[in-house]
Amino acid sequence: MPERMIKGPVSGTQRLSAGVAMLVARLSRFFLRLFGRGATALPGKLALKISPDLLTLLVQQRLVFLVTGTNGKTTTVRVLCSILLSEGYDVITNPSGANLDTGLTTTLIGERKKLRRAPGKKLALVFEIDEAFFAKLAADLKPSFCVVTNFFRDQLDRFGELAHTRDLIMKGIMASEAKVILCADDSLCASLGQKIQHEVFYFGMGQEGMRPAARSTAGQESAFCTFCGTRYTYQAVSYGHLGRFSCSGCGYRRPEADLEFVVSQQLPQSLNLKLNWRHNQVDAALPIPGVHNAYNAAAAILAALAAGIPLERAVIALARVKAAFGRMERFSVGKKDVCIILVKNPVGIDRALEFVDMALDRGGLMFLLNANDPDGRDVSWIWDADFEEHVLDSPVGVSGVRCHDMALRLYYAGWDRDNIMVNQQALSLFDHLLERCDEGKCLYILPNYTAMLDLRARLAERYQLKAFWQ
Amino acid sequence: MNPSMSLKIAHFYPDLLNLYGDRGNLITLMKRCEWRGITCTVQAVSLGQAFDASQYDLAFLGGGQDYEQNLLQDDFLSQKGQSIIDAVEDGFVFLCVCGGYQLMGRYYQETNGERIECLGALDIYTEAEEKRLIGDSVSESRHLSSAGYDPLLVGFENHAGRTYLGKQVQPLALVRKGGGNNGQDQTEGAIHNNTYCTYYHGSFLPKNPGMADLLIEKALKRRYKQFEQLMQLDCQMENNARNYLLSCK
Repeated sequence: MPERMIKGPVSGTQRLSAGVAMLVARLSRFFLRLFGRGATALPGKLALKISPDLLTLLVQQRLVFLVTGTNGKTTTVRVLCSILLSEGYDVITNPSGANLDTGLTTTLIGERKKLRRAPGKKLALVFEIDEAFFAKLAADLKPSFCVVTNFFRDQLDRFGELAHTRDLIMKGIMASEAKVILCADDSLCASLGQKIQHEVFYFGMGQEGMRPAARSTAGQESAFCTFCGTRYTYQAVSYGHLGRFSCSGCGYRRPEADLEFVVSQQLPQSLNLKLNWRHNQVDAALPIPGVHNAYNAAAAILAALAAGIPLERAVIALARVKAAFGRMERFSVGKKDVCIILVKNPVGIDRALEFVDMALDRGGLMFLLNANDPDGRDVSWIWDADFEEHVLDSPVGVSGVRCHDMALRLYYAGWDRDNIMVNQQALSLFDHLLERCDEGKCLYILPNYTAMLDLRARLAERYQLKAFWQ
Repeated sequence: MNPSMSLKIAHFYPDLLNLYGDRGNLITLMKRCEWRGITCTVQAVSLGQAFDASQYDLAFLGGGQDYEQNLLQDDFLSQKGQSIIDAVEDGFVFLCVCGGYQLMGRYYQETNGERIECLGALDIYTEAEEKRLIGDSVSESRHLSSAGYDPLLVGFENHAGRTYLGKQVQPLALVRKGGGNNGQDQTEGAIHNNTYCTYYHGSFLPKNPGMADLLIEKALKRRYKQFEQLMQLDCQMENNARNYLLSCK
């Protein structure tokens, strides 16, 4: 059995232990499912105990894409998968959250039919990788392509400092011979491509789509050159610290982008883009709103281009993309809409608030703030988000374990204290806000990670939404 | 109301020291002034700019990532150092958090034994250890209660440095939960004259409105000799957020 799932060289002992490992994993998965458990990690954990190089064996000589970075991983993976599927590939991807070696091994064992592919069928593995585990997994998986979306401050109590996160990703890149796809507008992300021998591709926003740079960089992240420490100057910015940066100290500047995009139109539920790839310009429609998602789509398209897929065909697939689980995900309840926007860090909240501020159909707003391990236990980051810039007058509710911290943040940002509903029970707050939401309007929900998983599971049960792996 | 009063705050290196919601401390000072009709302005004092304490009533020094903190070390010591030392001795009101707290001390010793010279405005020193002190924290400050404020301080701490206080410096508070200055002697933070230091962020002042008011009061007293006391504000929202941390084991 294993020899049909493993491509490339494998020794007799490896074959034997891999076979036993997969059998044990499948049995454990069977029993976990029998008892109603999700089984996303344990089967892989058992398998790796028996055959430590199983993951490496299963992926060797295959087309592997790894996607990492602070924000946009899930959406980028989703867009890339949809392009690859429409190109006729079989695609294996990991459910969000299952991005350790154990989760990936479980995923692969569950997809053994695709691994034993039929002749003539192409197979691509597209994995979302947590920044903290990228170095190890890139060494194990030897990817053909690495996509790094961006670097923003995120969960400093878990990841440590941004420079440290960048170094971890660099280590992973150095452990592979992958083609590397980077964001040109992010000085920290683009710096990864400056001194390496790998083939590097950059995506970024065209200057005509950016805003003039503000004079002050106060409060901005990564405002100083990562190579020499001089303060960057900006010709133009798109959002956060993304823009046309240059350093007068050492000459490091935003690299020329191989794939450049401009958002030609922002619609409530979609974006129109102009894409430019090596002097070949095409129009594209992305059925997910939010300028940050234009970056994610560009990252995915560029990975596809680097893999040899023509731009015109990639763009056609783009039109069929749906928002990922909890990321600008929208559904209807009777004549009202609900839109869930995951917000995990200051720049995420800023993007979401700007979007909700512009939304003409805003009928209510709900924040959920948890402080469990996957969220980071430190909630101080909410003070770095620009709530002051977007004081909204629609009905507002806050929930989650740290709801009172969020209420306090809104109050100090100048939001009307009497208009802020605080309720630890997320579902009953949701019901209340939905009731107050007018017909034809949309209730916008901005949760952080575990709060999103929790509320969405309850809403999925009630409204028959798809489970998160679908 | 406290009519026609104003307060000027110096914010040190806002482009370099802006970690862990430090901004929340300034937002809190500004809002609590604004709600009392006190005009409050904040001015950045960053790289290459001198610090003239006579132009301000209060100064805030926050924490940064190592990369950014290294960029300002020279500027802080040579460009601003002496005027900060003088201001501390003169009773100028400072709030220093985490990295800023460490910078005010004599030195910071890395885990490899290498010493980074700091300002020496306070008789304290810091030695890093591998294991970071991370988590929600609570401490009790007699200084606050004797000034008529709620003695309990809450926050989130995250630091590798262990700070030890010299004889001329008082602890800001005594630890009830968490690591505090060094995980050993139960002290948290430091006070010297009107300079207040703490390892708490999360942010510090929003959930410790008494501390915010104490700083505002001290600063106004220095500026307005006739000033007596601050108008009381309703702290229900602040207390709700505090109570969550106080109720956690």
